[in-house]
Amino acid sequence: MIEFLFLISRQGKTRLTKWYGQYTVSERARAVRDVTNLVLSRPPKQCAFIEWKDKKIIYKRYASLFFVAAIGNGDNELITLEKIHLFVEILDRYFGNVCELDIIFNFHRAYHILDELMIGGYIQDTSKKEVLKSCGTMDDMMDDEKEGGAGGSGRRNSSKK
Amino acid sequence: MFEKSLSDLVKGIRANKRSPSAFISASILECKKELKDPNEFVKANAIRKLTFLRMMGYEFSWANFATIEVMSSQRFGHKRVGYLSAAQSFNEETDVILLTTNLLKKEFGSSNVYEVGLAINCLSNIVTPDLARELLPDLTQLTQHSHGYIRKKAVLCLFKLFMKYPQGLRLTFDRIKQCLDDSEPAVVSCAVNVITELADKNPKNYLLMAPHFFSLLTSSSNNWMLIKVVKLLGSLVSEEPRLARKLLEPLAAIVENTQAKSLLYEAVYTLTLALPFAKKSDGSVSKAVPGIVDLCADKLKSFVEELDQNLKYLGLVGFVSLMRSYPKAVVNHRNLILRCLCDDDVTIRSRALELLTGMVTRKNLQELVDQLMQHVRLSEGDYRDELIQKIIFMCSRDKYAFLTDFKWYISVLVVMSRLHGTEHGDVISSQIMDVAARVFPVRDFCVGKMVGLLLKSEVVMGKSKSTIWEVLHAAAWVVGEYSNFIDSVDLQENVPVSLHHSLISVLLSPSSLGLPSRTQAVFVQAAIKIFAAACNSGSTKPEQLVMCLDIFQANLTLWMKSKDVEVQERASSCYRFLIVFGLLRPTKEPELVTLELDVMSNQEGASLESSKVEIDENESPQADDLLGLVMATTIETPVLPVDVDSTIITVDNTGSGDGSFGRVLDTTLTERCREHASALLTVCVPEPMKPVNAKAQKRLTPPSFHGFEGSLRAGLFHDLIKEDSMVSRKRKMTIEEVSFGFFGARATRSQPSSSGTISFDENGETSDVSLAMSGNGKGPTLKDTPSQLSHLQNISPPGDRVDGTPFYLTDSGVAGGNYSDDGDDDADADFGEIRLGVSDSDDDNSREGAKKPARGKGKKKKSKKKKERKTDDSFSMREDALAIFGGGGVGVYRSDEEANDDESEELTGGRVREAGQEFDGLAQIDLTTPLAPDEVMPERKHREVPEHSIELASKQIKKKKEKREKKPKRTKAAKKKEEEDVADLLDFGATNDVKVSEFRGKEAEIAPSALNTIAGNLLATVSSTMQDSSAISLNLKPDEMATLDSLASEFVTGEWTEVSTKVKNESGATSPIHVIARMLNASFVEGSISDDGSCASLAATGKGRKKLRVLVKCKGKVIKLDFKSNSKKLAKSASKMFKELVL
Repeated sequence: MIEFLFLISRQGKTRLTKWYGQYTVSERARAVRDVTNLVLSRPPKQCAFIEWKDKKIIYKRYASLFFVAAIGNGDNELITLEKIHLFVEILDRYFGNVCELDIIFNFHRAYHILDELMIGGYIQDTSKKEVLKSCGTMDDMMDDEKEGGAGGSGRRNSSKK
Repeated sequence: MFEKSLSDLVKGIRANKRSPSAFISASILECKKELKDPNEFVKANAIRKLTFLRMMGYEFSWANFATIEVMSSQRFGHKRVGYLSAAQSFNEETDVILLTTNLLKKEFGSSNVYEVGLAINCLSNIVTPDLARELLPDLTQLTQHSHGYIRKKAVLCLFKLFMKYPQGLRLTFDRIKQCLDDSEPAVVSCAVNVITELADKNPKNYLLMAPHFFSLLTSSSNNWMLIKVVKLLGSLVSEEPRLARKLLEPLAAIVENTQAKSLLYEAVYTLTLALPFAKKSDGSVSKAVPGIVDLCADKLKSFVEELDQNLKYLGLVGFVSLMRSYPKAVVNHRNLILRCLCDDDVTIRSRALELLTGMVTRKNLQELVDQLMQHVRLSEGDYRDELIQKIIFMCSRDKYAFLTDFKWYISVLVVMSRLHGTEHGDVISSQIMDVAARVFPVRDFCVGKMVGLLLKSEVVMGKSKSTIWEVLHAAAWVVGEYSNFIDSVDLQENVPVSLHHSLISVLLSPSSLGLPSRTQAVFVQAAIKIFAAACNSGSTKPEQLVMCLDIFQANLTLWMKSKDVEVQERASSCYRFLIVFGLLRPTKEPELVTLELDVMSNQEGASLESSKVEIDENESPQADDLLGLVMATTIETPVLPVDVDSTIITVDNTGSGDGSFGRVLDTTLTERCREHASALLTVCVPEPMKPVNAKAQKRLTPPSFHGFEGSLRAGLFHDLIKEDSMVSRKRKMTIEEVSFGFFGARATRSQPSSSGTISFDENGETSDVSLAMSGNGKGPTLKDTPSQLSHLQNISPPGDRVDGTPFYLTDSGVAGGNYSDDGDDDADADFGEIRLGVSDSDDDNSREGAKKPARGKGKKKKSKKKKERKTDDSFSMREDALAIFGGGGVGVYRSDEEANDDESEELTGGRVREAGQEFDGLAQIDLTTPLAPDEVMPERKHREVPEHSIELASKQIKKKKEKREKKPKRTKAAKKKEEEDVADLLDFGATNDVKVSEFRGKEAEIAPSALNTIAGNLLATVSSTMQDSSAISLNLKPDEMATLDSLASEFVTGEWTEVSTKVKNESGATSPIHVIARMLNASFVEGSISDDGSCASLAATGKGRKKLRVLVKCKGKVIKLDFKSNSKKLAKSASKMFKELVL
């Protein structure tokens, strides 16, 4: 199970946090701080697994963003990397060549995608198509209702492709 | 009104990079206002903005209610915003979470699948025990939804519910099983996922499903799912070894064929877990196993060889796992792993180090450590400390089991001690002391090394004191304790006067006062020991001795001024010693001296005594020694006058000598040194240690005057007086004739103890020992007393002692195995059961035995058995032995640590289970038994608050309860039932928000006479059943176990942490405990009694979750009975029944 998932920018800014385990507010703050420091202080080209407390931190850097996941001790590190990669690929397809700004301005969309990909720290569907399809449908449902409200700046481009 | 959109907010924050906080707080205020806006769009937008800000670390619990409002909006877009916000911000403490129950319920019934999906997603994030119980039925329904989209979400979410509400697992597991056959692969995959996680907590439940997964393993091609299946089967292996054998081949097939590294790794790792279980019952392994081991090692090797650091790391982790069952397969790749030590990545280096630590053998230890030492030199920081720690562990593990050359080890330790800034100074120092004390053949070598260390200490201390001072502590002790070896030390360099002299000058140099006081204290003690050795040694020239004394004269007073009491005391007692022996001149003014001397003559006894007490401390583990010492101190008194006389004479000399005391009296002084040498030695160097096994110590009867409460042995006084008169008659007796050891008093000892002189030596001690032993029916076990004495008398050739005192290890690299072989014979013949430190030598012997197969086999077995039996003893013994060293800070690898290490070496069954509290409940659930009739899906009902509770509940509670009442009232579907609801019977969660509506306060005040009977009866029943442990778990039906577990857990969480017990319901029995059981129709009643016996509690859960607890409190003659139940009726009838029972 993935305990939590962070997106951290190279400068140490948190771009996305998703908690699957039970953490209190202060535990969350501390975990974000600790893990951010831990990951950012790693020199490049080192092993992407860090033993942290009773968990393992798995991270991978994509452009300026670190995708960080914490998993339990018995979990497979490599498959976690693949999960992260899957998430990134879906983001990429959704936003069309995703960049950090896409995630900043559409943080909710990133969450929605993540929610379609995983539930409670477990992958629910490994098919990119399925995830994108349901996200697309839900976005459309929102658009139908939005009467020009605070809608989509930086809408997804790929749906038209 | 025009609000900021989310992108406005983000842009604003980015624009105010310097000080975003002002902008953010303004935005938060805006949001707060917007939340009050009736317009849904405005509200939803505000919530979204707040969700964003929350991610930046701000907290808005005030927005929680608004979040719920947005969640309940009709518009999908708003719902989505609300649910996201809730998922991100709600946790168990959020109070409004109660309001989501109905919202989610309603959403589950929505016709729009995406709305359902939102709700499930949200639930998986915010689930609490209450929500789990309430929504379990609805969610279970959803696993049969027509859309796969919903089914897969529901299945995964169910697992989250189980974690909060473990009982639910039993109720709904069948549904999850059905999902395994779902038409949609995603759903199947999710179900496998859930079962994998469940099996990780409690594998037993899922054994029956193994064939299903086995066929999945061989047929499926979905790697995502295969990984889960492999993991699942891996966790079942520990429960079913037959499965392990079956698994090997398909897993090996995956390993050989798959392209996916993650699956490959999972399969290899699972193989390494399964291999230990793959042995058949007769101990043989199937033919395939060696091939599979090779395959695993091969694949892991290719992992380690990869350029990708991740794979390299995993390869090492895999090797660690493989090493547990097939260490040989790993040892072959030693060089590969050694290369990893040069890696830039600390994580990888640490893994490799762990691996190397495990692959140590007798043969390769030296080579490995030498390689590691090279890394020690290059590395720094934490990693270097880790390296040092591992090296010491490798060498000292299992009582130096892998070490053959102790000389080499000492050199390694010395090298390590010279490193700057390491944290292991104390470990190194205690290792040095341990080896020096226990390994005779290397003692001289060790002393030589330590002398070198001490003489160069100034150089080292200049740069970094942090480590070296702790090692200096050990060095000083070793050199002092074994100062008789100093003569044989051959230092390559020239020393100005003599080795003794330079050592003393280093130890007593004022610069040493900068060291920690612990070390200082050892320094002083070591200095006088070395001086004693110098006096005793034939090779020291008179002027050298005088120069040594000069150092004492010059520096000791400085030390006497130390702030530390221990240092001060040691220094001054050392000083007084030398004065008493006439070797030092008091520093006071001449005219004061006589007066001072008078005082001194009074104090001398005290100072002597105090110094002896110190030695006493060193020897204290020998209980009998106290006897010898007490006598010795007593005997000292009559001798004193002689010495005082001599001191006075010295003072007289001083007067005439005009202060050039040392020079003028060179010859006299040296003579005196020689004269007193053996006495000094006796006083300073304690006799060799003879550790006594902790168990044997207990068996010894303490000497009769050990404690002061016992009566004194009259004969002792008689002896004393006799001796006294003898001494006074002779008058010539010098201090060296007085002895409480062996070295000086040969004359005294040559007379047998029975002849009437006082025996305060080994004889007295051993006679006690043998007495105690024969009392145990072991026969005369210490036969070798005379021989022991004889070789104790000639102080040196160290090897002699090895067989007599198995505490000492032989250095087989130096001295070969002869000792231990002999030792084995001797020991077995002579010592029998109580032989000291039996296991130590057994260890050695078993190893020796292995070397010589001809005689080894039988013996090996024997000693192994013994080893098992003795392990505990030997640990404690070793601790005792270490404690003897005095000086403190010994205990390197303490016994429990060793024990832990042993444990970790054992084959652990399968994966390390996650020990999170949250899974405790899940692990207890047993799925293998059929559902009991009372196990039904929780239904939602109104809670009825009995009037009684209001009487007792404080107003605050009342308010709270009213609040809670609101929620159920809102549900229209809820039906009222006659039977009362148990809100939180199964008190598994950490927080227990909902109070059990309880009946309370039926306090039956009964007549005192009757009270005693009932309470006595109750307490007696409870306590008697408690003792009768056979009644506890016999004849338990599994389905009853679950109920009891929940009860037990409540007892543990409540005030009743004492032993609790379960009483079987027997028809016909009339004790209260049985009455309760019958009344409730409960099969079991649980009783518990408080420590002091003043309170007893009985609790039972009956059919229909009815619960009753009776609390009996005895205070003097008043006994209170307190009935608690979730059913009013039951409590009433119970109290009535009890009254009847009593009155």
